[in-house]
Amino acid sequence: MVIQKIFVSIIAVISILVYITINAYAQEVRRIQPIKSPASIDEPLAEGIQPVKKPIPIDRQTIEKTMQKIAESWNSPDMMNTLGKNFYEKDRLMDSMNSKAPVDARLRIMSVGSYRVINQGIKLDPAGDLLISRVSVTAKTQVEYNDPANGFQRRQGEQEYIIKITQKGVAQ
Amino acid sequence: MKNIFKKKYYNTTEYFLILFLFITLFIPIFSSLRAEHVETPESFMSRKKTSYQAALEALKAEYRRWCVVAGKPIIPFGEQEQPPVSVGQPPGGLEMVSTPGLDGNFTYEIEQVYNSWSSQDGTNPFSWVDVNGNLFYVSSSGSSSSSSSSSVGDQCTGRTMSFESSGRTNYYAGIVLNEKTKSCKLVGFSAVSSTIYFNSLANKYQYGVGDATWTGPSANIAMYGTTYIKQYSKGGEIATIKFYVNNPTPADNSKAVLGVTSVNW
Repeated sequence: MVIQKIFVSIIAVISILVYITINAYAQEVRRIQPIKSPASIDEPLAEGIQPVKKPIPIDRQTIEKTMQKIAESWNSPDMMNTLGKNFYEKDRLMDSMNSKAPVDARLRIMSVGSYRVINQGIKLDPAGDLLISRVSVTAKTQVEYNDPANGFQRRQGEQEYIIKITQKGVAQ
Repeated sequence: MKNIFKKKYYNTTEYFLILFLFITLFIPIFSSLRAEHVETPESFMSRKKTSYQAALEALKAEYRRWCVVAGKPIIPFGEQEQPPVSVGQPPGGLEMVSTPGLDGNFTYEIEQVYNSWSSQDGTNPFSWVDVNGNLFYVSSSGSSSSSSSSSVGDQCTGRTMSFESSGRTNYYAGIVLNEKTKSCKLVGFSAVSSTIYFNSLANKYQYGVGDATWTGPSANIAMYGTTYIKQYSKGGEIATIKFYVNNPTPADNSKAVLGVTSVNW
């Protein structure tokens, strides 16, 4: 009887050890890994930003001027500076531009369509309070360059630009 | 009675023991047999990072060796920046007393650029995929322009080209047609290879077929400022071209401007 108890105990201990060992592998289940995606528009505009009481419109001239500056800086050494820190795959874009874009490739803004302010905030600053706006702008663009074999090339497209515009003003 | 109880007790114990053994031993074995081998996310990321970093360094070395373009900076690679954790905004808010003016006193940064639903793929100038792909890919059939030209490779319609006849004997402007790709382009000085050549004269100009494989009006004297519609054909394909030549400086007859209004196949 005692031998039987000892045998049963040994079997029980072994089975527990086997169970623990197997579970050690089995617990390697897949976790939910967030898929990399472009920056969310819900992200805060900046640190220490205060909300606005009511939305402040941004004039069209500022938008058009911004789009013009974006076009001028495209494929230039300043292009890197125009991209936000959360711009998706910024390094890959710049690397591709450096290796693929012809030196004479230029971006032309064909037309600036509708735009809307997605969110806004005010950052208090002694040198002048800053109105920071995240704006969605639709624009038709055309990339132009000369191909040595086939001559002038152009690629037209229409994009939605998510731009963060910072303007100086006085807040209360 | 005691023995019966003892026997029942042992039977029950044996039953639960067998059940316990089954649960603890066989079910995990079966489930482990079914489950595919998965590595931990940490080791996966570590393995990928190591191989990616090595490949990246090799690529950077090759890039620096072969592809450095003067005046263009080499973009350093760094750690992937993670987006900041979202924080809620406090209630209430401020109001701009002095709204921003139009004095250009603003800064901007692009957060993202998406292709609109109506835009064709491969035309986003801020997408690294498009930059590597369609944006700078030129097919042998010519441009993939989406302008309102009459053919896919029409690089003539609505364009002008100035040319001179400063003592040279060759033709000085030309239109090259390709009947296979139905393409058209303006070329400068050349051109027996031009389908149609243009040669500036004193008070008039001359045009005609430069490439003998094409048929059409040849060696015609034409007036500046008049628009002509002429047909040229090759291999069963006919191109109807509407063109004109202007003399912007009447005092200087050596200069002329060729313009193409339309090309239809």
